[in-house]
Amino acid sequence: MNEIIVPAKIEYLNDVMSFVKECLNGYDTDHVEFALELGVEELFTNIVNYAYPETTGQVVVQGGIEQAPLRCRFSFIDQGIPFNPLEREMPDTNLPIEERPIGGLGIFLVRKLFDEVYYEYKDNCNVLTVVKRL
Amino acid sequence: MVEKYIRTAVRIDANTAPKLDAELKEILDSGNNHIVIDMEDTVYISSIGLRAFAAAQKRIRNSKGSMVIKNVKPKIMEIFEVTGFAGLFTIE
Repeated sequence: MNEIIVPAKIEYLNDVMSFVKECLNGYDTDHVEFALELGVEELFTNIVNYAYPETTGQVVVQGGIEQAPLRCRFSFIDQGIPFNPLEREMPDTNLPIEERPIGGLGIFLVRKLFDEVYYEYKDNCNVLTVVKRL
Repeated sequence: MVEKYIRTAVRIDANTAPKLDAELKEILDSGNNHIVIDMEDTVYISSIGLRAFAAAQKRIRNSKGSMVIKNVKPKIMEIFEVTGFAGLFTIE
């Protein structure tokens, strides 16, 4: 398993993106590239925006390829306020735009585009993991 | 009726969405409420980009204007569809 640790600041988004792409080096990932980029952006920016309101903490991203079935798994880990974004109500996409809450869209997209998304709170950390078949 | 035309970036992400949001606000603030958005170049959009479109669409609806989105690539269309945005905009 590979790992990258960066400060929870938006300017490190590209480093995390590069890390994820390096983990998948050598595999045909064209068909999942959009989902992976979106997942990285949404999960990383969620941590940057909400995990550490008082301080600047770190973000750990761990993951890589798994075989049989071929898939990738990435965990986004922070030591911020305990928060399970999956407990948020899924937005009602049939509502007219005026009645839609503006938040929650990012995590909604992540749930739609990945095969598995799960949250754990362990060792004082929020751990959000996404899995996508290749 | 004067239509304002915007051509969106290759990627509408955390880096570029604030610029799109500002562009849309500027047009609406100047009193124009008919906007054509050409997405020919765009291959990626995240939730922050969708929020910029949603905010503009709300104002346009309230002022009885129009927002037309053109040349949407299949991957982007998929995002519009799963989020229900496809039904909120006029997509040509």
